Amino acid sequence: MNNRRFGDRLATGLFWLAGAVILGILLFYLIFIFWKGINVLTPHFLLSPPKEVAAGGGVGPELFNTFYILFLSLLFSLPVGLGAGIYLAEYARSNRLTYIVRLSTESLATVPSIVLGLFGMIIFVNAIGLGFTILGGAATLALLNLPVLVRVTEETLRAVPFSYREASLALGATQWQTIRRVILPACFPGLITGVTLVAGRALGESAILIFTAGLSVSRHAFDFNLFVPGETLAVHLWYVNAEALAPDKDAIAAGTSALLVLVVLIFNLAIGLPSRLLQRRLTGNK
Amino acid sequence: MTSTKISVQSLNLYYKDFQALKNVNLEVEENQVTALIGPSGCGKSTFLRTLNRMNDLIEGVRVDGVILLDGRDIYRPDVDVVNLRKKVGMVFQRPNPFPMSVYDNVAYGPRIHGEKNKRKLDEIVEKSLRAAVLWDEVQDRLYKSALGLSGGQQQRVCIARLLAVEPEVLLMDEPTSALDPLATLRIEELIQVLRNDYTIVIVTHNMQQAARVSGVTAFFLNGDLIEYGNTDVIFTRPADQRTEDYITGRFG
Repeated sequence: MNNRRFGDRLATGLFWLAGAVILGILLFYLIFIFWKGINVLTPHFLLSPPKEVAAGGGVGPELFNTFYILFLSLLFSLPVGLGAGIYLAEYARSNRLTYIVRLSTESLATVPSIVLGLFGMIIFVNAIGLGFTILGGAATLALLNLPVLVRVTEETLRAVPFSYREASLALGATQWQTIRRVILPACFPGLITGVTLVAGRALGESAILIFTAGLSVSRHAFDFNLFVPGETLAVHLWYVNAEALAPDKDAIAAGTSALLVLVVLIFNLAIGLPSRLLQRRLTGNK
Repeated sequence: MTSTKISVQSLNLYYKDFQALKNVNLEVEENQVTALIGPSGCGKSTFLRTLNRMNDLIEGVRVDGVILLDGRDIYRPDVDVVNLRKKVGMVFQRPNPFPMSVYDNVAYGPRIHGEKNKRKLDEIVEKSLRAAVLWDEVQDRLYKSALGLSGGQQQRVCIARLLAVEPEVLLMDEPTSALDPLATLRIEELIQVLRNDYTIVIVTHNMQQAARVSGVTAFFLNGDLIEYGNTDVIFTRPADQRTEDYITGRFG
């Protein structure tokens, strides 16, 4: 009896500790990064272009490119990723072809991003001859997102009870009506989590973009041109640390890190809050 | 005075190599409650699901034989399964309301069949919930999730959802097996009311239930339809020894 109690307490304590460790690591990161970088984040820093040799450069274009490339890569990968995930979960029969599609997706998900980056460079930069462009970067980034999106979509759809499908089909719904009106709404929170995961990864991705979108930015602010190079925040962070000549490069790096973390946090909130409201509207309150 | 709604002739069903239904012949009468009884795994649920082709969803199922609904074979290749299921609806063993509001659950069927008029939908929802004897309990929480209701209420939401598409035949697959006795009683009372307007086929494990709600009972054993007939005859003077053994609790 006492032994069992002790074991129970020990387990509770260990799980509590594991939770505390995770929280501790996260807090340490956040405090460390913000403490070093937050006072760099002035309007001037956020809006003005970077400087190569002189001090006082900003990250305005990088901030814009980060979102622009993320948006484009989601534009490319979401339809295909969701589509393939829905196909695998709802339409595919359990045969060899399905198995191969699933295996390919899983293998794609394990390809290191540097390999994808070099692949993107061979295809978009060299073979097609675009040079370093926002388009090439976004397309290659989409390749990184794609397998994760397929997996998340398929698994989220599979987690929806079969009884919902039965109920809908038994009412005379077509398969597409069932997917659109019952399955996808029920999956909504899971899909949003998937998109957030993918977006977080894309926001922080550097290896792919160094070789496809390049290390320079357009001279025009808010340049939507797809065929100009487009350095992002994460790439800029790498560049500043590795090669920059500006005397204030440490401060710029610290500021860029803090901004990057902030961007991810804001992005997650910006997607999470409205989706929670929409979810509540779709499902009705309990 | 009774007319045949569904006529099943020489029905065989195979699941891969396993024959789950063997040469079943059965007439389902219109505006009658037909109960399907038998031990677990005897094929009664499988049989029920052939009547609106829900077995089509399961890979490896093969059906031969004829099932006539109003004289027309529902397994002919040119039959529109979507229309068939609109006519022959189903209530499942576990209540399975969608994760939406009560209103959206009941309005689901009419909406997928093209009804957009808000006032018309309001009418259908109220009428269906009243028919399922649930209106008084949920009218002030129509826009809250159906998942917040009790099991018995959820099952009545499912019945209301079904009634909203105005089917002709209701298939019920052990509709009360996940419910407590009081909720079971309410569903049984509801079936008594619904029998006036619908043809009902109900699978049940509970023999008292079959005796209480049905006019005709069919006894299945190992994929064979052993016998069927008026419920009071089946329960008092069955023709087959196996039926008597099952009903008196000697196996099953």
